[in-house]
Amino acid sequence: MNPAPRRYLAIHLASLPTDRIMRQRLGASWRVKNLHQEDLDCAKPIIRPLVMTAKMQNAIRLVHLDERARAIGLQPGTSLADAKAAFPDLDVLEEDANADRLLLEAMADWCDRYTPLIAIDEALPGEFGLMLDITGCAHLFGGERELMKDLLVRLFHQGFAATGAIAPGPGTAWALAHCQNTKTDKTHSALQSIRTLEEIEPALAPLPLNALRIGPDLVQALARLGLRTIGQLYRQPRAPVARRFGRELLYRLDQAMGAVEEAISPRRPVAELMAERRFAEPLVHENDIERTIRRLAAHLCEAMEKKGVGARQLQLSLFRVDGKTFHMEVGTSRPERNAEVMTRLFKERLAALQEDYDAGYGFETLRLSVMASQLMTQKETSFLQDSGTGDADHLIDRLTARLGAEAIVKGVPENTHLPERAEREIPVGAWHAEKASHRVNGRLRGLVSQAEYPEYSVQDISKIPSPHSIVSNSIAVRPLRLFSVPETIEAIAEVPDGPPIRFRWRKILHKVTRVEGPERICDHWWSRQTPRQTRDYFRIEDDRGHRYWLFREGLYERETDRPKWFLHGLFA
Amino acid sequence: MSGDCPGPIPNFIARPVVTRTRQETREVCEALAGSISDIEKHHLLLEDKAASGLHVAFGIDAIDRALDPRTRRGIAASGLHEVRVAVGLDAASGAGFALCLGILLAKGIRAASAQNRISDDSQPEKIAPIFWISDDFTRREYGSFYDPGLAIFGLAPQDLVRIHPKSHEETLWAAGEIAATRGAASLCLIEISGHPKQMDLTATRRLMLRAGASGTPVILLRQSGEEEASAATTRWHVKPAISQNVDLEKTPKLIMPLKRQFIGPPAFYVQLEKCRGGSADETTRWNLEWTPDEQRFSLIRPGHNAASSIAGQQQSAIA
Repeated sequence: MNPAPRRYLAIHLASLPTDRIMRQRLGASWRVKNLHQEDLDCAKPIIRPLVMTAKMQNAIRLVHLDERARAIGLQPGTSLADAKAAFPDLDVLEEDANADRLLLEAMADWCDRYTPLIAIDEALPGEFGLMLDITGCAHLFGGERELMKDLLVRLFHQGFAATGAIAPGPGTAWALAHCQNTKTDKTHSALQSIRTLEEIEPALAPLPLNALRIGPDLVQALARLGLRTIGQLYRQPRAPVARRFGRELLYRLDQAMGAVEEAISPRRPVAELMAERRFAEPLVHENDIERTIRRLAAHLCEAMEKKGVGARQLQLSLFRVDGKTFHMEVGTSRPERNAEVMTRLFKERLAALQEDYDAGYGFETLRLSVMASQLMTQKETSFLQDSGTGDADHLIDRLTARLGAEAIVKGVPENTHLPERAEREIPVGAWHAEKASHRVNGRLRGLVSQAEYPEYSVQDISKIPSPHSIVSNSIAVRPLRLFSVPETIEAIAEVPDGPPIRFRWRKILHKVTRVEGPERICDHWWSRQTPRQTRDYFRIEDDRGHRYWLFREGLYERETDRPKWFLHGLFA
Repeated sequence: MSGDCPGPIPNFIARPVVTRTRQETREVCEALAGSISDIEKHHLLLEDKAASGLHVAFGIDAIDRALDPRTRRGIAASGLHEVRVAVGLDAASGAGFALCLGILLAKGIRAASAQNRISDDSQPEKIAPIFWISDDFTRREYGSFYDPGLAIFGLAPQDLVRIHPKSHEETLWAAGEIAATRGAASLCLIEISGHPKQMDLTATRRLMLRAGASGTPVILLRQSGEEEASAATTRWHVKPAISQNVDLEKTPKLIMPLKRQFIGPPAFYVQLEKCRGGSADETTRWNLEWTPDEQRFSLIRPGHNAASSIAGQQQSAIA
């Protein structure tokens, strides 16, 4: 059986930058309001034509125009001086590409409600659009036309002029979406749809060549040859066209005609499973949100049970009525298929994000997606045994959801003798992965690690090495507390390499009574141009029983004339 | 609606006025009093449970007697214990003692639960992790726990989960969450500096009750702290003690250090300042040494090369 033919919805936002400005000035519903005003008194719009400029080709030129500016005959690329001479009453602003991009990203997020496969259209600079792969999603909205209508009407009410078209390929949809006239239908932006490959040619033939996603220079060059529409170009023999204008042109043409397959690259990873719920009345209360999450989670768990998997990563998307979207993710340390546990994780996450998310007028759609899953084997548990470390995993998941992954860490041994580098902190979630890779290798990474961290545990008294057996195993004793940056001390010591006799740390003088050492630790001479100086570590005890780990940096008369002293750690 | 009612009293949504007869009022009051006493009983019950629950003996008669004069069972295994360090210099001693005490408690709990369970040697038992909660300031000021150094205490790095909260509220929340989960942690170590107002009597009492109910040992390690009222079962004041000499005869394989001056295992000078149900006073203070091989404390004589460790401690306190 052939897979279902793909369906793409292209959305063209003809005046996104100016719409952004108008939304800021008049509010998101400015298009709707403006219409009413015109209907009432038939007066001329009080708004002046708005143009946005940027410096191009050594002159300040118009780049984005709103509908009024286009209606009076201005063109992008005209220099601002010319435009001002013809129309002194222009409203001129500077372009802000960054803000436009952010707005487009937010719109793409918002469109997430229709399909998870959304790409930001970047075919041509200065053109704004979105490409949605709506294959298999349309029936949820009552059909393709209904989906597109719903989307365009909502965008219109949010203050954007948008046109859209649905076609079997992104190129075709793009061409149709870009060559529609918004003026024909003012309240609802125009819509068009192509179902089969046979419909493509007649629909595209009359369209101008700039619908092919090619640069303006190429369009002009073709126009000089009398080629103005897609139909005219399509009837030309292919070889000479390719020789003269390059293969890019033919490639674009084939894409538009549906002869070449084209894929879009979605912005977000596509969820493996999704459950969502829409509401006629927006949700505001946290309790309602929580209850909805529980229901969605139950749905997902059912679906996961059928597939025999459990969720490792979950994402909750909250769509607010005014178009803002919030995404929040939680991870689990083992495959999870318990709706109650999932709900609890999101509860912590919501509590942690209290300040960052704002229910405002409420959320109209909630979606729970499984972003990553893992095969889940049912474990047979003896009824005599308690649940073991399962509780610890859940606990760590909850802590991670509330405090963030960076706040719950474990140490991993590193392959180095430098004490401050010998241990690295990584999130517990990543730690599990690291451990798994170690198990595959059969040993812990690094030459020191295996010896330093043998597998023993709290109650295996016989296997626990004492400091002395550690020494006899030629593993050096290390302090309980380590300063990530060694602290400078003033020390009096014998030259050239004697232990310290007295030292001053944090303004207090300490008299050394007992010393162990030195233990000499060199830098990685092979890994850098100028290695750090050699360190001689001493374990010392002062007359009051404090035990410290000091080191002298630099070998006397070989590396330096004045070795410096540091305090690196504290022993219990 | 709110606009037409000016005045100092906030205009709440009007509530229906309930008129009760005297009889009804009395019934309501009695019901309330009943539920209040229920709540209090529940707490007392929990505290009783903690008191009657598992105890772990130090194996040192003087300490066990001070902790529990009647039965000499030692220290209550679950619940909240506080370890206090007066000055920043002693930070590692406090951490070391808290860790040793925690290991002692965790070991006691494990031993007790192993007795109650039918042994199943087919699969190795997994050990619940040790949680160490410590904020940025504390780690910067007193250093971070160092995994290679934990080996001396008989801990593998995979046993220790570090939590770095950004605020005292997060510290409390995380500690509460760990204390409340049964069997998820073999020890929860909360390290704070000074006296944050969030860690007050109410908060410590809540921690104490949760830990008691779930059977998790929780140790509050207070760096640079004074004596403060808290709900902890015991409070220990820790200073370092001069370590014992290492017997060279017994360890012939040792590499020769300079001048044969070896530093022995961790040694502490501890004072039991407070003990619920026990006797804590000026005399309850000891020089203790942690024996890593056996994971237990033992009494030591004051250091040999100072006049007396206790005397030395007092001197240092004066200085």
